[in-house]
Amino acid sequence: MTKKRFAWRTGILVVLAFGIISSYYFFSLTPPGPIPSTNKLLKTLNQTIKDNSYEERDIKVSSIQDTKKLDDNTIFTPFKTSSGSYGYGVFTWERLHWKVHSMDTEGTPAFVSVDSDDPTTYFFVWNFDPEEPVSTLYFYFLQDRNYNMEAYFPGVQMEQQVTINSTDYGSLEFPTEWRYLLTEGKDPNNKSVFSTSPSFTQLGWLAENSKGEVFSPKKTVRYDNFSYMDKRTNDNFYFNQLYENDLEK
Amino acid sequence: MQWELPNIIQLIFIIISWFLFFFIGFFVIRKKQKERPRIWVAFILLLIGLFSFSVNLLWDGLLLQISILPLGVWLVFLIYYFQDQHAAFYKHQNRWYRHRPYLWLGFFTNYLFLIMMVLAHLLFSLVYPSKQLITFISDSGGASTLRIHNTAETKVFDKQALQTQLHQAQLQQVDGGEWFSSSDPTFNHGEVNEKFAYILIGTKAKWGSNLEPLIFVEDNGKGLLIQTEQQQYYFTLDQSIWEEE
Repeated sequence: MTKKRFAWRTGILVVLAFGIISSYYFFSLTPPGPIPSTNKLLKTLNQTIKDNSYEERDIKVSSIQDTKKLDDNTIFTPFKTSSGSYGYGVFTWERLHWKVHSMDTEGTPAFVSVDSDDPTTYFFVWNFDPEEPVSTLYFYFLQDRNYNMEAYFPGVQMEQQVTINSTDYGSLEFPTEWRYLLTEGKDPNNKSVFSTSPSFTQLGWLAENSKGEVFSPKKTVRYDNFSYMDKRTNDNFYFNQLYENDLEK
Repeated sequence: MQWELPNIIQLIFIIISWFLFFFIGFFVIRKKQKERPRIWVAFILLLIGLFSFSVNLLWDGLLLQISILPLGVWLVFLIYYFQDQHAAFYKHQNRWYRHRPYLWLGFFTNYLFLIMMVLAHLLFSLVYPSKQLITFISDSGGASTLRIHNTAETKVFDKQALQTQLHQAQLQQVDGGEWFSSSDPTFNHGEVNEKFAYILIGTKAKWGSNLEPLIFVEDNGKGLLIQTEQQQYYFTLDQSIWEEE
C-alpha cells in the first residue's frame, strides 16, 4: 500500500467516524424543544388513538386540562374526552420530536417508566373525575417476605402519601428512598446460589375519601377506555390498585 | 446479553490472559514460523480460534465456561478445504498448516481464561474475605438508615456505634425459616413483626471488590443481613446501632 492510498483511507475513516459521532450527538443530545401548543398535543393524541385502534373509535380527546413537565424530557397532559371521561397523556422528547410515550382515556393512577433502567424517569400519574371523592392517595412499594435454606428476604412495604387538593390530576416522582431496593436485573447471568430469588417488586395505589375510608374510585373507571403504551417500553413492574387487606398492619 | 463488571482482581487476570494469548501468538508461534502470515491475518485467526461450543458450570457462584468443540478451528478448516479443492493452482497448499497453530492457540486459550477466572475467584476470597464485615462496609462515612416497612418503629441511627464495631462483627448462620416465622403475620396472630425492617445506605464496600450489597438491619440494631448478588451473610454486633431513647 502506498502512502497516498493509506492517507486517503485514513481520511475517509476519520470523516465517517466524525459523521457518525456528530449525528449521534445531534439526534440524542439536542435539548428538548418548547412544549407544543395544546392544539398540537390534542391532534397528536387523537392521531395515536386512530393509529392504534383496529376499528373506528368514537372516543376522542376533547380538551387538554394542563401541560406539565415531569422532567426535561417528559410532558404530562391530563385531558377530558368526548365520552366525558378523564385521562392523561405522557410525551417524551425523542429524536427531535415530542412523541406520545403512553396515554389512557381512563385516569386511574398509572405507573410510567420512560427508561426502565433509570428510576429517575419513573413517575406516577393520575387524573380523577372531579366528582370522585378522593382526598388522599397512597402509593406503595411492596416485596413479599420469603426465605430458603441460605437466605431470608424481608417483607418490604413502603408508603408515599399524596393529598389531593385543588386539582384532581397530578403526578409523583418515584420516591428516592424506593430506589435502594430496586434489585431487579442486578444478577444478569442469574448465577446466584439462591434457590428462591429475591422477591420481585410490586407497586400499588390506594385511595381514601375525606372520612379516611379506603374506597375504590368508580366514576373514573371506564371499561371502554383506550390505552396505549410505546412498544419499546418494558413493563417491569406490576402496578395495581390495592385493597386494605393487601397490606400488612 | 448484559455483562457484569469485573472486580479489580478479575480485571487484572483478564488483562494478563489476553496479554499472554497475544504474546504467545505473535512472539512464540509467529516468530518460529519461516513463512509467516501477515499480522492482521494472524490476529483474526487467533480470534476465530476462540470460538467454541462450551458447557456452562456453576461453581461457588462463578459461571465456568468449559469449551468442548473447537468450532473456530473447524470453520476455517472447512473453508480452506473447499477453497483449495477448487483452486486452479495449489498456491494456498500450505496455508492450512501455517494457520492452524493460531486457531488451536485460540481454542486452548479458552482454558487459560477458565483457569485464570478460577484463580481470580480464589484470590478474591483471600483479599476480600466474606467473614469480615469490613469487606462489605469499609467506608461508613455517609451511612444512614431507612425504614422499609411502614409498620416498624422509627429508629435513630447511631453512626459512631457502627463505626467502632466494624472490626468485631461476628459472622453467623442465616436462619431464614426462623426469621420468617417470627416476622410473618400468619405465624403471629395476624401481626407483622418484621425482623429486618430497615436498610443501611450510603456505605461503601472495600475498594475494588465491585460489591454493592444491600444491607438489612435487624430490629434490635445488633444484626446486619448483607445480601450480595450471589449470597447472604449475617453479622452480629455486641452493641445496638440504634440510639437509646
